[in-house]
Amino acid sequence: MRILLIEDDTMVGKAVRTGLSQAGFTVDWVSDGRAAELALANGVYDLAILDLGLPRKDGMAILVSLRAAGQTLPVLIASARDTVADRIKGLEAGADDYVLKPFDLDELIARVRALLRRHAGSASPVLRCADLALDSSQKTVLKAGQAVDLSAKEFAILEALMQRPGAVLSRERLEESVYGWGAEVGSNAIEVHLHHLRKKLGAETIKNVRGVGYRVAQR
Amino acid sequence: MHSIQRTLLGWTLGALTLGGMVVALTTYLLTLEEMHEVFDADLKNVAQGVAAYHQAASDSDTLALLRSPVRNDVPEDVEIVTLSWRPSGEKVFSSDPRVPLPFTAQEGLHRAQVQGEEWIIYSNVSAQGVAQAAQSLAARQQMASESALKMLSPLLALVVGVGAMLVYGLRRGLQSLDVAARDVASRSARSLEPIAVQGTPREITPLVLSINGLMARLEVALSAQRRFTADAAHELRTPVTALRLQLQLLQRSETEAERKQAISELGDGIQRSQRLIEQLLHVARSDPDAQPSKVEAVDLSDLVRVAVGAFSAKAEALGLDLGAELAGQVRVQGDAEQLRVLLDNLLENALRYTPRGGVVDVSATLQDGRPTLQVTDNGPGIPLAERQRVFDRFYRGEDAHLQARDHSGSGLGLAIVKAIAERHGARLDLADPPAGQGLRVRLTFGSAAD
Repeated sequence: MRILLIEDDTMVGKAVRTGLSQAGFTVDWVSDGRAAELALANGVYDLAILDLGLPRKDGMAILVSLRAAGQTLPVLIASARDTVADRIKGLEAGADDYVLKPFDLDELIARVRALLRRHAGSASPVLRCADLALDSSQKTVLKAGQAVDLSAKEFAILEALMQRPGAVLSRERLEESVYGWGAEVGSNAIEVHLHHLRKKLGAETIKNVRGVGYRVAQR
Repeated sequence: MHSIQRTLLGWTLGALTLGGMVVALTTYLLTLEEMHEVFDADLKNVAQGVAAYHQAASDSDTLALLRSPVRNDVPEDVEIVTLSWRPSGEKVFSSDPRVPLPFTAQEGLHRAQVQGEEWIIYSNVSAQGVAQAAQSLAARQQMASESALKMLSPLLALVVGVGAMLVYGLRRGLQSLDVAARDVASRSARSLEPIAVQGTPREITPLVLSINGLMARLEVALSAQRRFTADAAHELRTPVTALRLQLQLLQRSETEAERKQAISELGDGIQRSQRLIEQLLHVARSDPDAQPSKVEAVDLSDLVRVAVGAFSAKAEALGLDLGAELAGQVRVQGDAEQLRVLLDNLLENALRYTPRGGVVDVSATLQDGRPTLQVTDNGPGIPLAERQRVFDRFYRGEDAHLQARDHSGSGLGLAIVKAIAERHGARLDLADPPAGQGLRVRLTFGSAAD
């Protein structure tokens, strides 16, 4: 799951990024409004955490233009603006949730997970596909009821695939949802992780569509 | 306590009483004079009458038959005593033998002491003898003082009447003051609406207006204070958020390396919060309405020397060339502590924004006879459009987050600098340095101290 963190305060941004990364998310962090717009234009994010008081372009303006452009990714506002009017304004402009600073890291992560689940069309934290069950909050994967031990990257790749059952995701798309900016990604890193995944889960679980990408088996 | 009502009453009633006394005395003197005139003429007439009678009696040779009365009664107030004498000085007749008036063979009015009292006597001298009419001076004076005393009672009534009306009138006139006082007394500390001027007497209106003016100024100051408190609370949320997150990261750190990193970041967070609180205190202290500061002669060169010394190690670590340009003593009247805070803030800004390899110059000089403090750097500068707003509290430049080398700025530095400059009556301006790139902050003082 790849998250865009839009936060102008260095200390808060750094701590949130560390906390979310530790929770298994891939986090890109921008600290002003214009950089946020450029990043959002990519369309590679599963969720955005948005501060409102930003230099160069206000958070509210970013949200409004994002929704005007038809983008539906979940947006979680994290702001020090604490009046009810501010919260209503944020939610009406198209935010999916609003947390007040100072917030709790665990609460932020739980809200992020809830938003991602709801966006994927399921209120349950467990994604199911054939005999696979993936719990994104517990970070566990069950294959026919048996727990399978996966690395963080393997888990992220499987999660990305299971979010869109049946859809074929390219190697680049998988790379984007697993690695943040500036990460050194070897040319065949994704293939290596997929190789390990298929070894652990069985080759039939993840199908390779030659020349296009990968998808999870439906049955 | 000083009372308008008592003062007015005292002066008015005092003036009335004094006036009454003057009127009574004048009445007494005028009445006495009038009485002298009237009674002197009476004395003359009576003496002439007695003389005519004396003449008639001596012509008919019945003079010897005259007998003076024997008197035991109380004489009337202004009784005229008549006497008749032979030319030899032998007394023929006296209307009151108890009064031993002396014989005088001289025509006209004169006064004489009789039994310790002064008497006014008219003598009519003729060949047959002397006829006299006399009256006691004390009796005349008593009559005059009685008539003067009669004047006093209406005067007393006047004083009492005027006093009562004055008390009533003053109460009525000052009632609107009581109304205004009750209006103010019933207010809460937050209500600073003006007092109604309508209905207040003309004499009180300037007072009410100046109180209203004071309240308007208080309102402005109070709302600025409230806004500042709200802003400060808002600005404190961000560092507190950082602290909370950093603490949580520390709590969930698993390896020694993670723990060390988290502790170091929490330390930075605490330092930054402390810095923000210090800056907020500086803002409060440099407020124009704050306590007046200690003013003394301050040498700007000294100030610059100390500040550059204090920042030199940090500048070296950041790869910056920090130097001072001094020209002897440059003395101003000011608060040394506040000027130090001002210079520290300017230097912190210069060091925060000037990239590695940059130059920061600090100078204290006299320019056109005016003491001038300058901090010049060749960093990114401040765009023209933002040069007014950077002095606002909590304002941060649009690109500041990209240019600053650390992110502990509070948005208060230049607001503090501006407030301290204003308290010193110094002009503060931002300009491009002569070299073009960078920023020059210049502080020009009004005049040099002796």
